[in-house]
Amino acid sequence: MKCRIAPLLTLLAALAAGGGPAAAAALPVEELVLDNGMRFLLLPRPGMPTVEAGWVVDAGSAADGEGAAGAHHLIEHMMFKGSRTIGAVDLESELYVLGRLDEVAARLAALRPPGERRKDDLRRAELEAERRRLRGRARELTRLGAFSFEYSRAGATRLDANTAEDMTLYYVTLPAEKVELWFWLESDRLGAPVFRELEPEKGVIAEERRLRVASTPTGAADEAFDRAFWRGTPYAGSALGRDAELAGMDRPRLRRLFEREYRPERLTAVLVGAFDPAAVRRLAPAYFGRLPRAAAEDVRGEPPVAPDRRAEERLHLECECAAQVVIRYPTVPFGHPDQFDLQALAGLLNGRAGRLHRELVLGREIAFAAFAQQLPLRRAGAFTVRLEAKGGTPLAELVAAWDGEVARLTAAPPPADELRRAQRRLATEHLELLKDPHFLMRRLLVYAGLGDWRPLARWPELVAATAPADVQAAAGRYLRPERRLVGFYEPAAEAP
Amino acid sequence: MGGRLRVRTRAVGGAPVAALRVWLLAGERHAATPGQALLAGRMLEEGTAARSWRRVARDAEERGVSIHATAGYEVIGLALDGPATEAERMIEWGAELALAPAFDAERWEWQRELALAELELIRDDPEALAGWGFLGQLYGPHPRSRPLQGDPASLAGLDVAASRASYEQALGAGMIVSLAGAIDEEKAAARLRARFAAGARPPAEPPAEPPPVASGEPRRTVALPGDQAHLFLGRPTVDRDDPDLPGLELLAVVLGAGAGLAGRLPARVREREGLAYTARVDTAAGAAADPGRLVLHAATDRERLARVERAFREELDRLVTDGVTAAELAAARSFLEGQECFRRETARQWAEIMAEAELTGHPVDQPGWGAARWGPLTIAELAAIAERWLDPAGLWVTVGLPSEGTERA
Repeated sequence: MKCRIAPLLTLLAALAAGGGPAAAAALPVEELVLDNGMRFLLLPRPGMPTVEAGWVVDAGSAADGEGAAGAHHLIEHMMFKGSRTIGAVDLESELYVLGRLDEVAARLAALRPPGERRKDDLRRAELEAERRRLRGRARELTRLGAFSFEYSRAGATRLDANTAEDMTLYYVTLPAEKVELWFWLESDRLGAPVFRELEPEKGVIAEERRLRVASTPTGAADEAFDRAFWRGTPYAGSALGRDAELAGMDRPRLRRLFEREYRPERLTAVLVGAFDPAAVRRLAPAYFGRLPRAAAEDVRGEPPVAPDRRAEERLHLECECAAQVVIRYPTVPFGHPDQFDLQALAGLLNGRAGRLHRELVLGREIAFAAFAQQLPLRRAGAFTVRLEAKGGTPLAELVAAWDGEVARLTAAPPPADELRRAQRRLATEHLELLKDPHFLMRRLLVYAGLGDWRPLARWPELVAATAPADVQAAAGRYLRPERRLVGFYEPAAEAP
Repeated sequence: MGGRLRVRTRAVGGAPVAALRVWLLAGERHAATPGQALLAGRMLEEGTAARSWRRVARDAEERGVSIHATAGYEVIGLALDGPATEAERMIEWGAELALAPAFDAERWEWQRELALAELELIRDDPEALAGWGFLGQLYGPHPRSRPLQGDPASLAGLDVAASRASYEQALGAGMIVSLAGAIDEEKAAARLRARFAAGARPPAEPPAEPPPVASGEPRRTVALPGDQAHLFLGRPTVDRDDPDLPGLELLAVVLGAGAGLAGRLPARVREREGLAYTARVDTAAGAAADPGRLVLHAATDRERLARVERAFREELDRLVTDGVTAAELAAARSFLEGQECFRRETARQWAEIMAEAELTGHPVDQPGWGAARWGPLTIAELAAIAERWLDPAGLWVTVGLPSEGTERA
């Protein structure tokens, strides 16, 4: 039996569409596909003063490859360095200097490690001096920050990008009358980027890594946990990369990777806001139609992967955080029908009225915070539970309490009322996100990057279709102790 | 202003939603004990005389309404967002939550524990820890120097009775109520007045003014978790009524508060020298009833700190000595004017900006107001403002260094 919460869903769909109940059917997204294969998703909202614009390439850190962790993230950074037009002062001279820099980098890479051979050490010193000279010259031939400056002086904001496992996203918010600027700047950097200032950018990424991983309470522990969980799959690498791997990445290698991945048939653009769809249908081919379709074969449709987990594994990790336990199970990738049952299951566990808060936080008072999440990736999925210990509660007690919750979930279906409330809350939270045009644009990009934007419009309906028996079945099928990884996060011992 | 109720409404097109904001003019700035206003504010979503907190949460979930209560330095705030069809109910709930909160002892204790946990989080977050060190250095005894949660000692000194009493006083300090969305403006305004006036308290005595801003030692070192150093440079600048504020806003964009990596500091520190992932700048951050601040911040390796500080100082010096170019001024003006439309997109934003206009006495909700402030400023006037507020010779500095096992600040 399937639950129905139709009246709320009708309203939610109307809200997401930005129209009245008559416009309630779904997100009224118009699709446009250019001759070169690039896809556009258009969601006009005439009342808005702005346009949210972005594009996604369906290549991210999972495609970095062996020994090249961080490559896609580095490309993402280099895409802000301008193009043959933006940032160029004397392009011909600059390209010559950049070519010389690449030659010097290749020669440096071919030398024996420092201290091994005196001749190489002397040569290294010469080459380093040459590299410094060339860098200084290259800097004279470019306008740094020119790409951001063009957007800034147009009043644009939220200019940013993210590299995720399966995709890389680029987006910005513009005043409505500046939408053509976006077409120009984005097609320009896709068509003719110049990867300037590569070496300083590696330093920037080292600092980003320090900021996001080494200096967050659970950053390093989370990274170790992820690496252990996804071992043997493309998701085991670090999106940010590590200094040693980044050091070996030169401009020609990045350029080859860019040309292989950033092809129009792997790109989807999303526009939400006050634009004229007819004008966009004219602008899209005029600007992005310039990108040539590549002859290389399409790499979409890779098969699902699953971490090879046959017995429970336990990891003890140090963190600068409150003691907590993280439990993760392999589940299903994006698009799998069980995904929505797992999301409903997470909904049942989360929130102030959810089971985890009710039982572990308020009831037994052994947890300070508790959270569950189903994360769908393109080729895999995972269900994660994070429980933060209250006071001195032993972490093993939290694991036992969670096992008790799983036993309840698998022994009997949840009461229909309880599930319905959770589904309503999920629908409300979904709506909260989609009400914001910026997040709506970004969610469309993420769904497009995962392979299909359409479930986004139907998400509350799909989650609401989960019946109590479906939740019970999903818990039984996926929350199996022999397949899980358990991370015990404990504060590092204080120095004496 | 004591005890006065001010109501604003606005019909907003687009999605059929409504946003209600209730602001009591009694924030942490006037709290007798640090953390008091925040705890009192958060109790507004913890149940009323008529409904328990569980019932409030369940009713809200059933109707697709979200409720959030908190406090800032100047106000205690209650926010309700939901479908426009629930606007009437949101008014009723808003009045019930704001005028008759239960102050249940058990829930109050839970909120105190939450505040303590948040303070622990700050101690685990290197940027937040260094940032609060900087604010302490800059503002001295003024409440802006401390987190809204107060500190463990001040929280330990509070109890539910004192919290309830402070909230009763807050009700007499004045209230702003705004509602925006797919509504009938006049009917909604009348309903708001009728419902909220019923709970009005006699005007309270004006609260004591907080101690003045008094910056401490010019250079301070804070020990941090993690392995990245943080550098904060700055000084107190102007409050929101100061005529120099529009000029400082333009100068902030020139320095790097614009889009992406635009601006002098990101270009120098990140793009050219690769010293840091972020190089943030603001010239009047947090300008409100009390002065805002010039703040330049970067997170970097400790070996690079001196280079970052030198770059920051040199760029400020260049700005003060050479001023801005006509192209930079035009671009900064264009950026700020372009931003204005982003502030009035949704019902939620309209509800907040109307409340802000009532609070500040400035027509921040009027679309042309910002442009009228920035438009007339000349390069010479910006040079004078830069000289007054951005001179690198008069800065306070907080350096946060990875502690490597040493005791933290």
